[in-house]
Amino acid sequence: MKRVMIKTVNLTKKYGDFTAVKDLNLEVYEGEFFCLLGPNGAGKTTTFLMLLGLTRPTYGSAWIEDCDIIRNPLEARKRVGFVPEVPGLYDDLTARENLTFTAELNGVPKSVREKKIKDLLDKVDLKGWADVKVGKFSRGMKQRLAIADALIKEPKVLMLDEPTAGIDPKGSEEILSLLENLSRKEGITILMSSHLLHHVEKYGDRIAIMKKGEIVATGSISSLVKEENIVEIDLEGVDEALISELNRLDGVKEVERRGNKLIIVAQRDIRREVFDVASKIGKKVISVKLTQSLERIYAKYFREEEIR
Amino acid sequence: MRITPIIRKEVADHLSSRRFPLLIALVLLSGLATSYLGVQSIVKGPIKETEQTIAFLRLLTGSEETQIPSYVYFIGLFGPIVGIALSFDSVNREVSSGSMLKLLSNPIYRDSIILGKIIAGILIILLIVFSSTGIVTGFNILLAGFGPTIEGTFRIIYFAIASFLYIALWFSIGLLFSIVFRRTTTSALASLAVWVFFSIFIYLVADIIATEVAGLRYYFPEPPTSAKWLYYVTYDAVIRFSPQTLYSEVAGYILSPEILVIYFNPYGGFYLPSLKLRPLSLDESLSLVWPSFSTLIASFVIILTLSILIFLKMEVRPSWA
Repeated sequence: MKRVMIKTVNLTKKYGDFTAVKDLNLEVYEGEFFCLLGPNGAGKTTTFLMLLGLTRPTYGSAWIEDCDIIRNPLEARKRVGFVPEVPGLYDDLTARENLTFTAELNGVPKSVREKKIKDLLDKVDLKGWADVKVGKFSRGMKQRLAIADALIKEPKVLMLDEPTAGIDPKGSEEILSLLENLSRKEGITILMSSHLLHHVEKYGDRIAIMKKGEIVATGSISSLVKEENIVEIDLEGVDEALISELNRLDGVKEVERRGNKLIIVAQRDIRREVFDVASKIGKKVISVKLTQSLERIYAKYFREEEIR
Repeated sequence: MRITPIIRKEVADHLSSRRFPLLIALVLLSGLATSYLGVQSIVKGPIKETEQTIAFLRLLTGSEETQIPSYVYFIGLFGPIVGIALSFDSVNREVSSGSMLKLLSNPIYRDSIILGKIIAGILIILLIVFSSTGIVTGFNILLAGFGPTIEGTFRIIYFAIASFLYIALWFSIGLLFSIVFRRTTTSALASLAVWVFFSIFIYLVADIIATEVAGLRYYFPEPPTSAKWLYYVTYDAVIRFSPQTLYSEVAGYILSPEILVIYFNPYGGFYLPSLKLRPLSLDESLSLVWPSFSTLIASFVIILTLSILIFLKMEVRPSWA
């Protein structure tokens, strides 16, 4: 059985009357690539801040490995490397100087510091950039350096808050591949927040969808998408009788009309039955399409405009 | 506490910033210029050995006849700018750039971060004050052809300590605002507003308060001596809230041993406590300035403590979240 590296129990943060995070219950396992998915204001950053011991939860508990983040935040931070959305590196220092500063703060012995910095710069593909001021780096390079910076303390858990925000697709892929390697090859537990579905879908092992501070869905991507089968049927004319018939089908949760199209949300693949019902009523079917994607799951919880 | 890397980085940041050479040039050039102009009017001819200390110290304080702004005057004027410039953005800039969040995600106590910034700022102020005072003193020796006595040297050292405290007090005010305000422009403007108030408006405020307390408006044509006394005492108490007043008193009394203390007798007008006109000894000068000196220290400590407490309690949220 895999070790639990991050655990939260009813973790809640309130700012006055506003609840930023509500009763968060989460377990992230060793070596897992776990994604927090949600739009801005969903409570992802507040969750990170609580897990880092930088903001005190209103109530609830959380542990990093076996370390209580409320009672012993300093020990917890020894185990966690954090990469904020804006890397927070010092632009007037070189890559090497930035890493040296973080190494000193983490008590990395001088004897191994130089080698460690060199190895990390190699790992994040910034080998020839060690002595260049960070102000000259692109956003993607800064983010990779920030990952190296977080790794200098050899953390067991790496938390990343929207690491690909504002980075071009190629740069994003590089960062995510790097994170995937860290998770798969080095066994580092990754907790990453994002609102980019295709990234999460491609790299995440499990996800938690957050909405207004609460987790509304959690699980592996495959298990989540299986619960939401979207059948899109294009017809030559739609009427209420057809909609009513389709609603009677077993497993159908919702039927929505969009012009001559019907969008049917079901718990299973009902393409065959949908085709049969349409034919029986005498409606000519132009096409029937099944969609099982995270995007639909996401759309279920958030307004469509939020994902565009 | 891993405070050394933070101090080292902060000191390096100050030294490599564009502000540092500007600030040190501001202090140094004003000191050298006033020395050069002052020496021509103060040291007009041969000076007796007994008067050399007073004459040498007057190169720093200036004399009433010359009308040339002195080194003490310039420190009083530019000291707040130096202190504020070193601290007004030290916390909020790091918060808005995200580096504070990254810094805090390391296994270090928050105290280390704020104390590192304070210690680095103090070191830089010490460097500016002692190096510029040393250079100005050396320049004065060259120009005047004589140096201070041992007592005079100690007076200059105490003056440098007072200058340090004065600038450090403004540093702490800038630091407090950099913690309280999220935007660097707001913290800079707030610090400058406090400086303008205590440099200019405090005298107006003191006059208004003292006039009201003494009830001077109700006496015509001439208020009684007791009302005048109350006016002076109140006015004096109010202007002592200004760091500039405190600093002027400390620097003035330490560097001017010939100053006579004139007391005001409510029943018999002004009187001199001693008619024996001799310069004050260093001990006498120090005891005279001690209330103002200790107020400077206390203000500095109180504002720093407040800054530390607010910083420890503040929630560092990324500004983009």
